[in-house]
Amino acid sequence: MKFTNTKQSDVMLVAIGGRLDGSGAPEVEAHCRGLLERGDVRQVLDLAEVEYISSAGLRSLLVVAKQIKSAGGVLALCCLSPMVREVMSISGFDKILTLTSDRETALAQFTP
Amino acid sequence: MKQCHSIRVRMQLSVLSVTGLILASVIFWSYLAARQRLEADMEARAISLAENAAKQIDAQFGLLQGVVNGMALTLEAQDFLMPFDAVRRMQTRSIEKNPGIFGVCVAIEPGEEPEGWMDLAAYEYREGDRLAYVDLAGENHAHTHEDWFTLPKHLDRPVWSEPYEWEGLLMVTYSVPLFRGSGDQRRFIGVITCDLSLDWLDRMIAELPLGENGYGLLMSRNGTYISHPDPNIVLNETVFSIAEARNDPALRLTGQQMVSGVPGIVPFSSFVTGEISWLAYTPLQSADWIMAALISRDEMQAAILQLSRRQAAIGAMGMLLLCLAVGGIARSITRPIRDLRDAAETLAAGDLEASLPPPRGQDEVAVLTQRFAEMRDNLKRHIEDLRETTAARERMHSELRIAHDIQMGLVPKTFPPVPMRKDLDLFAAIEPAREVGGDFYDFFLLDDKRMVVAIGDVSGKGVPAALFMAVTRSFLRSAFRSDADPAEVMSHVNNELVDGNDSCMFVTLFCAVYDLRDGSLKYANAGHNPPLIQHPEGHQEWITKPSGTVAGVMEDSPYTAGETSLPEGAVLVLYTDGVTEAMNPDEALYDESRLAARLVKSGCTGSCREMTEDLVDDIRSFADGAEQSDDITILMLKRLVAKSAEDPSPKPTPAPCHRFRFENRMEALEQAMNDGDSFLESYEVSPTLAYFVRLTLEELATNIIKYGYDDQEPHAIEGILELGQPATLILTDDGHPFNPLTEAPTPTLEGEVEDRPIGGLGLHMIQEMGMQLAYRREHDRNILRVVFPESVWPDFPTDSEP
Repeated sequence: MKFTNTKQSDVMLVAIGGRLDGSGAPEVEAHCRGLLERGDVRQVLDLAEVEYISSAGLRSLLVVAKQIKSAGGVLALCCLSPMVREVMSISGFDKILTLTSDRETALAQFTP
Repeated sequence: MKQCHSIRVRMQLSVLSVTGLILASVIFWSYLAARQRLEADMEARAISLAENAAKQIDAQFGLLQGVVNGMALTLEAQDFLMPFDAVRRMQTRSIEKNPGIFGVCVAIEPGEEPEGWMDLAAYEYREGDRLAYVDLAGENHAHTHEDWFTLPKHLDRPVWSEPYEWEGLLMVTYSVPLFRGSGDQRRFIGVITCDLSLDWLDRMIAELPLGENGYGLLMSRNGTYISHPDPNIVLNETVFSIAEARNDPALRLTGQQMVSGVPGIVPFSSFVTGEISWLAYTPLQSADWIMAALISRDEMQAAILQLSRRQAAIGAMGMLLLCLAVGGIARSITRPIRDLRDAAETLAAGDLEASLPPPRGQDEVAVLTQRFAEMRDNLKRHIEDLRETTAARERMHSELRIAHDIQMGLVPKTFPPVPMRKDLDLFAAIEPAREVGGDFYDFFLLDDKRMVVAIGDVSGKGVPAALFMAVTRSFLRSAFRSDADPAEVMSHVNNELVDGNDSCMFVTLFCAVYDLRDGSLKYANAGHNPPLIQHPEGHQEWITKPSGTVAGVMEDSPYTAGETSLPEGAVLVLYTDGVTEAMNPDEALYDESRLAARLVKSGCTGSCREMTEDLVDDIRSFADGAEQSDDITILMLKRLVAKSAEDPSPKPTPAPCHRFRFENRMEALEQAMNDGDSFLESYEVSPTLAYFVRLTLEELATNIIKYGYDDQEPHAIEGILELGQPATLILTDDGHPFNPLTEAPTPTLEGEVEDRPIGGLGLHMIQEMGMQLAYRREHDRNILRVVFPESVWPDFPTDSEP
């Protein structure tokens, strides 16, 4: 998995590349937990380069979302490819995770 | 040459080196001792030579002193009353009688001359062969001023003068004072002197045996040289003046020691020859002189060296003799060993008839030779035995070969068996073990619609098994000629075999009648391994029932026929226990599960020949070189789709199919998913289908891996992906029974993020996305068939339209 971290004001923007499957999902989980432990409670995950997601990937996103929420932060996902978006909606995750079409909208989630 | 390693040479070398070392030490030690002794000798010799020379000189001087003292006594005794001519006669006589005396002078103090004495200093001396006379006094009494007159007068004792030269002769004068009266009346009258020529002194000293570079010397008390091989320094130089001139403090010290009046010996570097020498010196008794003898040290060294050389030469000669002696001894000791070695070489080359050297005596070599002879005889006997055993084994082998030929000659080997039948594929193979076993197979057409296939395994091995097998096959064929029911045939064969089976052999037998028209199969089994039907969809069917007892043991054993059918594309697999009981080096069995797994892997795509060969290869690689203990016999029959000439409907091209197999580990699954992707890529299917396949495979296989097994052993999961109409994926595993459609929990999708349980999601997802799942449990395996939604089926030209 490839991760590119960009800090925009107090929001950590993480661009993720690769497959969010049984082997990739734990890496995403570990990466986001690492950021959270450093104090980045506001995270946007850019999934433009993620072409595949399985239930294992969904689970890890769920775990990340739970951890951030319990730390009092906010998680948003953006730039989902059509197939990933499809999987999200079939699994009902689009209702429980914050999904946006682009980065700007995602960042706007954090402005009160 | 390897001679340098031989015992003989080693013996010679060690003996000679040790003795050489000892000899060299002896020579060196004797050189040191001789040198010490010679040095002591030389010193003693130098001292004694010096002393002897001194004594000789003393003796000579003493004689002359006696003459002069005698004359003085004569004069004093007669109180100088003898007439002058008597004195003159005495003078003449003493000179004539003593060749060492050069001249004699009687000198009188003026005023004291006795009466009638004409000359005050009457001097008679040698001139050539005659005597001459002169009065040394003259008018003014010149003699009274001479040392030889005044010194005795004042010292009141006889005096030796310092040596001096007179008319080319080295002279010395001995003066004795003359007195008249006694007591207080005693008064000095004059002196009587005697001149001595010292030529004889030089001659005597030169004759001293001091060696070539040694010499003697005489020196006065003040160091003046009186006699010396260098005439230039005689009387002209003293030892001290030379020391001064040469600035040689050592020489000065030596001079001081010499004139000290004590005899001694000192090391000395000769200023004449420059050699290191010993200088022995001793004072004379008569005169105040010192006699010295000098012996060259180098000469002595040369003498020692010569001595040592002689010793070394003798030693070398001894060594040479020793060499010859040791060589001879070593040769004679090692000769029997060498002879034995030569004989052993011949033996080692394989010539067991080689004669060994006759043993001499009872020593180790003789014993060794005897043992060698025993070894050779034993070897000969052993080889003879071996030859006989080999011949016997050869005979047995040829019998076994015949048995093998019988075995192989009885099984049909023409493939395909019925070339005109396009709906039948059949192949069979026997891989014989090293020993001939009793495996066989058979197939033949009963009529144009039915075919008989059979496989059997006779108990035991070797010729009896082969013969029993031949009999069984004959019974089988003849029984089928009268009856087509497998159970009846089996009963018949059994009874025939029991009759006259004294050796109690038996055979496991499976035979079946296959109907070429509809693929139906009627069979009977007499204790043989259950055959297997491999279906083209991947699942397998074991024909376990009904099964009777082995044939040939009990009369009238009951056999019942079973019926099944072979669908199109399915393969009937017959095999013997050589397949399932093949062992690897760890003694693990190949067993039914590996057989089944291999057949699943090869599927029903290849021909029977390919499948059979693939199976045999797999068994071989499993055995990994372990020796094959039993015949491996396989027969496969495949029902092909009939192609009739009247109905030329073209056979559809088979849909692209990807068969795979992976272990129950996440890493293996990852690899299988990637392999699947590559397969799909090569057929350029839609990304959606690729996504579906990957997702389905991941979700289902993850479930199997995580929840399907209770143990930690590796298990194989097999899959077939077919891109047909429909596109399907079949996954089979040997985990515990689990139907995900009924037993999986439904995931909760409602509720807040933090409340949602994690799990149970994958199955729900793939079903939601349109994948249809079907589950069945067959032969202890879970089989999950997934049909992908029609919208993503690939559109291959699978049906070639005319």
